[in-house]
Amino acid sequence: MGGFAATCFGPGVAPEGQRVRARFDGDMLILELGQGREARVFAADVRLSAGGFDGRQMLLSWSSGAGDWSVLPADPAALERLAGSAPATFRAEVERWRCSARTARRGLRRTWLVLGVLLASPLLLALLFFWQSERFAGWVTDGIPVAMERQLGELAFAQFRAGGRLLEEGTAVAAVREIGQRLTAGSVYDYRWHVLADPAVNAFAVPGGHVVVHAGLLLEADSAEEVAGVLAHEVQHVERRHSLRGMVHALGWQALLGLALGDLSGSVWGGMAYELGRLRFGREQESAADREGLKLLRKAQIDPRGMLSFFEKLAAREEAGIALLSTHPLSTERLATLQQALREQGSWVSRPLPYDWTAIKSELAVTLEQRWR
Amino acid sequence: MAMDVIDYQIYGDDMQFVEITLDPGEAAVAEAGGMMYMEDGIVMETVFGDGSEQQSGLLGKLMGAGKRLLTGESLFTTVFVNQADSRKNVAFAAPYPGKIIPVDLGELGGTLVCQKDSFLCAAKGVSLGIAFQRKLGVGLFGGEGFIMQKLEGDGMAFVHAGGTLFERTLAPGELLRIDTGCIVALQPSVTYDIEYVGKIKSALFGGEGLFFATLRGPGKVWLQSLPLSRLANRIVAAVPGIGGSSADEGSVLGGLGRMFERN
Repeated sequence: MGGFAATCFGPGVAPEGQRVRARFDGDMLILELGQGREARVFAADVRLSAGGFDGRQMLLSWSSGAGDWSVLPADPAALERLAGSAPATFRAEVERWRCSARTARRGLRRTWLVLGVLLASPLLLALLFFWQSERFAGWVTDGIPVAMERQLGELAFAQFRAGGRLLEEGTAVAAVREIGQRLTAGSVYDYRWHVLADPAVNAFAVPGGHVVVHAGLLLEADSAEEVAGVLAHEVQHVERRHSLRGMVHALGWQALLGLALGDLSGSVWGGMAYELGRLRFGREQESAADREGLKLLRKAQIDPRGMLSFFEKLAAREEAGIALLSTHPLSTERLATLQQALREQGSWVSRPLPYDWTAIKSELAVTLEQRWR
Repeated sequence: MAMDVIDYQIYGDDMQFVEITLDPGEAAVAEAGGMMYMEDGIVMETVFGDGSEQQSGLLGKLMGAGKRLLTGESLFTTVFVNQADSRKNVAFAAPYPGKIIPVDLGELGGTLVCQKDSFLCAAKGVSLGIAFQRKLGVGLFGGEGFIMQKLEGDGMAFVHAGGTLFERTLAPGELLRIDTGCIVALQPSVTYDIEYVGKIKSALFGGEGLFFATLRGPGKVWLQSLPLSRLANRIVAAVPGIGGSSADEGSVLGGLGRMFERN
């Protein structure tokens, strides 16, 4: 023992380097070159530095009269252990090496970390956005004034209106308008009521106050109270800015995915993200609209049993195998929640809606018949 | 582990191949697809990993194979075993113009770091690993990327590179500045770094790029005069339709005729 294995380069040594043993003797560093040959150097003259392919190899170097020498310890730890037996100046060199190696390692780790974070940041951002998207959309939505919301809604609705499938007159349209106005008295939104010539049982609200009811829904309803229930639900989507939030959501996703994936057209991704967001938050919004819709009915003194019976009908259709949007909670579930909410609120005095719904339906059926012929 | 000692002969000038003579029972490993011919009696076997049997167990083999993917090699290596009872030859050809360097790993201290993709063949027992460049600047601008190939063992290995090969022994502390991309192989004792060319004018208009690679001794280095990528660039630039002009040199009109070829 008493030495360390190393590879030696220098004058008179094989150019590819030679395996040697090195040891300290007093203030000398001695290399055993084999065949009795030795190289000696004052340990105080030896400098330690980092080198090698990846900068992690320890290099001992010095100059002699014949030329420059380099020694690469096979195991730097062995040399560090031995440094105790070396002169103080060399010990200081070893200490310096240890420090600089540590600093270099730390700096390198930091660089790689920063690089990794930079590379991963779009992904992290997307994850954060997905996780907190509802909150972000909420912030943005809260920052949009009602006037701008209305403009946005008009823009979106103008395209829809251009489709030419809206019914402009008839008792059904008038009834929907009147019920709607009774529900929304005193709202900051300027509501417009429309009936769409479409056989689907559906209704939707556009930001800013356009509410569209499909004719199929009106035909499915058995009383004006049932229609009022649906309208109250849709009005709550507007009041609570659900559709605006949806738009903000979709736009945000589109922008973010465009940024992360470099696809600036982003339309496919935007659509996908919007659907994803709806799947996650749609149910929540629907239940909220149900609950608040009930309150609206109470304020307008409309019998809530219409809303309940219409959801019963929807539940029956669901069982019959007609698929509803999965973003809506199951109608049976909704029904139970609604009944619960109704029990909590207690019943109220209601004024019946003054419409002969059977007559309205038959007139609507005739109008549609003419239209579709 | 004991390496197979092999005899070899390199043929050709600028498009070389190496013929390896295997004693009965001896074997050589090669990159998949490198074989040129083999005599009757030599059996080819494809193994997962590098065939050095240094990695034990499935996990070790998978790791080895993963590393090989990083260096741009195939997942599989081909082992050529002489199963006859006399000496037989097998030959491996370089895939593009250049030289084959025979390297005795035992003489070099057991390890050689070389350019990705440059390994051609070796005596069985030589292991192929990766040498990861931890220095960010060198990895990005050194011309060889973050990952190089590491050959370990003490037998013969054959490495291939483009153009003319130049072997140089650097004395301790001796510094050589090199155009990035020209490094083929180096001993691990050589310090590999980069250096900014110095002046903004030379960086932009000097044509040598922003950085030199620097190699500081001690140790042996091998340089190539024509990296394949440089050759490929020139070829692509000269191919009509991809980026070059159609050099219809026999045309009577010459340049005048070509005036009308492009809109």
